[in-house]
Amino acid sequence: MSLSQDKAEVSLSIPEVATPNLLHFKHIPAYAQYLLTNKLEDFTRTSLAISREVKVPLLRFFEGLPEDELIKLSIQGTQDYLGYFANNSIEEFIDLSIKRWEENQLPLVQDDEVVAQDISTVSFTRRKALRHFLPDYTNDLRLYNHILDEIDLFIMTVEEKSYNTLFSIQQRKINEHLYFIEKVNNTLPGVVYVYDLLEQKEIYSTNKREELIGYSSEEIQSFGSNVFAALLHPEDLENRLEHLGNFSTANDGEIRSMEYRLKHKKGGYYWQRVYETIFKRNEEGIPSQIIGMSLDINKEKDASQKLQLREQQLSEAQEIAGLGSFEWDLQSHNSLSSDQLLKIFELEESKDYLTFLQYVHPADQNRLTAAINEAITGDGKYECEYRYQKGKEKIIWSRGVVSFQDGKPYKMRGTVMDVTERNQMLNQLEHTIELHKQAQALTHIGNWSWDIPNNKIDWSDEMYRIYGLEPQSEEIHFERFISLVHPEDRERRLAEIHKALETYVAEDYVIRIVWDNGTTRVLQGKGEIILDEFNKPCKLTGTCQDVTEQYHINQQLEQKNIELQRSNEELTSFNYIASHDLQEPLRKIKLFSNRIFEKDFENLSPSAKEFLPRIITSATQMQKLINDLLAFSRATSADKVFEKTDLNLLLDEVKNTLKESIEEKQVSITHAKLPELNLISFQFQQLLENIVGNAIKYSKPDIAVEIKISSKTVAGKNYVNQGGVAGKNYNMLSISDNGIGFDQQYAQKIFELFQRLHNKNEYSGTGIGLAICKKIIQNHNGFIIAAGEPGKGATFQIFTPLN
Amino acid sequence: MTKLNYHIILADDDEDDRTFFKEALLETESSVTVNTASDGIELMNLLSHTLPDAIFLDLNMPFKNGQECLSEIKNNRRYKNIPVVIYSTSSNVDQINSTFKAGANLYISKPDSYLKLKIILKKVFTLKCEEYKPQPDKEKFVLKY
Repeated sequence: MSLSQDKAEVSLSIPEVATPNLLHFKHIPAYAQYLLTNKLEDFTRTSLAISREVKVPLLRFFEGLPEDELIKLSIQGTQDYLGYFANNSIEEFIDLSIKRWEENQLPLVQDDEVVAQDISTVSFTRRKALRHFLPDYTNDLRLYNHILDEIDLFIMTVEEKSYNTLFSIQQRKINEHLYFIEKVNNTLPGVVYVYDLLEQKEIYSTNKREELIGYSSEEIQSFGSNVFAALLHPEDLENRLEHLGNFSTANDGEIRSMEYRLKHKKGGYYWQRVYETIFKRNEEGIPSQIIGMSLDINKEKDASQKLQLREQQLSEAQEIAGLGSFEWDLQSHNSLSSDQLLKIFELEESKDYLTFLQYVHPADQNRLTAAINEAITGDGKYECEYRYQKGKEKIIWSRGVVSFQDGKPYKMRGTVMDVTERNQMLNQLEHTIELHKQAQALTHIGNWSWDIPNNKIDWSDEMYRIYGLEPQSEEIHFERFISLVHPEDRERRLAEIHKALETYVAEDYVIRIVWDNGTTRVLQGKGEIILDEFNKPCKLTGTCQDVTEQYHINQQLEQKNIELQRSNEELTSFNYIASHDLQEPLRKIKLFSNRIFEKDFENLSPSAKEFLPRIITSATQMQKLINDLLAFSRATSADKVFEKTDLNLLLDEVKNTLKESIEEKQVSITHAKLPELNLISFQFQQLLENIVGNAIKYSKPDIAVEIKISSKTVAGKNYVNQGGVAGKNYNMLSISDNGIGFDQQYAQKIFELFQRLHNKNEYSGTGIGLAICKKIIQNHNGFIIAAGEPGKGATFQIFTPLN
Repeated sequence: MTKLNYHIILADDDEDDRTFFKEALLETESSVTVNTASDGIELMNLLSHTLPDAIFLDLNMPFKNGQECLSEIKNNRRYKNIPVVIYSTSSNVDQINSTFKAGANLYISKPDSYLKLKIILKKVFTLKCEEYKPQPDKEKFVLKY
């Protein structure tokens, strides 16, 4: 590493410990001279041997040297060293050596390669070597001890100075490292950190962190293992933890990267990209710490997101607008098209002009080409609307600008737009407006709008017509409007308007107006209050219709209704009269006739004997007629109360009522079990009574009457012509007899009122019975059909809807 | 209903009917005595003097009709136990229903022959009284001959 700059900032001062006076020896110089003269090589070799014995670490740097050269080098050094002793200037030697060390001028050894062990072992070696030859030099114990003292002093001084130097060099190195790291950290764009995978916390991070996310390293570390839960974006948490977990299989030196969002202390998330590698492994070799650098990539993200968003927005905008864009190189005839353009033209890729042109509506091709040519040769502006058909026919509106280079047309840039829907909508709108006008004219509905503050009334054309005026022939204001209202209605209408303005609710209204020619018309309208920003009524708007004709019709209808009600009441009282007052004299006629017949018949003249029974028969017939008419009117007007009715029981009732004639004519009625139906009970009983009664009445005189009754469910669709409703099911009750039957051509006629197929003398009937039946079955929303064959019998089918 | 010295009241505005009724009754149930009233008001007056064993009530009468008499009788503590036989020209279902509802005990329509009248009177006086008091079942209400 080269650190030529800023070296001055690092403290390299070495404290002075030993004083020079202390190293001014009395006895060592002579001993040193003795060694120099007599024992130089011996001393050197001994020193070397000792240093090998104690394994002076520095020796490793001399391992490459051949032994004799090492000896030679060592002798030189020893000579030098002993020389300083001999001159009693050993302090100079120490300072010189230290200086060489400090200045990195040691032979073969770098200043920072000297370690503490070197100092202690070299001292040991020196002390031992000096002591080794002392017995040879003197036997004087006092001298001996003096020299030993001086050796110790020397060693102590050397060691002290050496250690100081070592420390200061180490310190310098550390300072240099710290400085370097600081510089690196300051220069790096991101945060460097160490994360402990096992303890799951950040154990170191540079101060940049605070700049980036507002939290200091201490704060981050205080989060402990919650650091990610506290700071990571929730969406990124899982990925981050997985990413960290995956480091267990990472190789040393492998750099892994990921991106995530960190929460800023002041809120908001910031995008980070981290590069991480294994920093430490535990005893088992499992990665325990990672070192990483985190970069703020927020701007990058922002920019790319914005770009993405823009692109998306543009594409969306083009799609929404149905807008495509193109750039057409007029020299090479290549063209660039936006996706949307291809979509509009329903093409997979850009096509040349002629291919494209074949999809343009033939009638528009020339016009399109002409428009383009005109732009290229003219002012450079191009615009054309044309029909295009690849799939469905579209209307395309295209615009473009030609750019020129050196006076030559160079490129045309432009847009195309699918305006099919827009055109359709415009057409529809025009159509709707037209329809609306026509509708107003047809229905005679007009619009009006009263601008209250400005006292201006806006009338549609139809409104003018309604008021008998030429459309838009004059301006209408409130006073003019009131003057057109029928004098009898003015006050009421004014009150209604006032009320509407007070309550904000405009009720429907009916007014009469008078045209200039004196005609009175009746109008009906609806209104609505429009409020201004202060919730005060500012407008009264509405619609209005001339309902004169309806009004008159309604009045007539009401009159008719009243009349109808009256006539219904009269009919009811007629029924009452019929049931009592008409019956009364008839009964009397019969009563008295019978009285004569029973008591005085023998005393009558032959002609009276003949006429009397006829009187009785006629009166009976008249009674029957009245009763039937009553029944018919009851079938029409009675309340229709439907109830579940067992047809079997109903038939029993009928049999009971007709008991006399059944016994008299020996009628057999056979039927299977009949269903339960929802019926107007008493009416349906009447119906059955009439049909069964007819079967008995119109029987053949010489044959026992047989009536068969059956019932089944049928589908209405098979009887649509007879009155059935498709999709509905019916119960069909079938009653057939072996009577005189009838001609099928009368199958419908027999149900009409007073229609009889027989002379009164043959069969007594009023011609009302089947009409009643029809009425009753209509009341049930059903229908009845008859089939007959003269001499064979008749069948009546009665259909009642199910559910 | 057979009982000696049976006393009934017939309320009917029709003189012919009153005559026929009395004659026919005499011929079938000679022990029964009949008082007659020619309208509703007369009937109610009569009732205030004497309580009959049964009342035969025509419906269509002047001043106070049969229906009104019926509800007065059936709403009066003194009279309500007297059996009321409706005796009407009409066999209208509505009328049958409304008189039954008002508490009448029997309904017969006036027959159109003397013979039938006698038959039906005979029937009436052979009915079991307990089945018609306070009211019979609906299907027994109308008596046919």
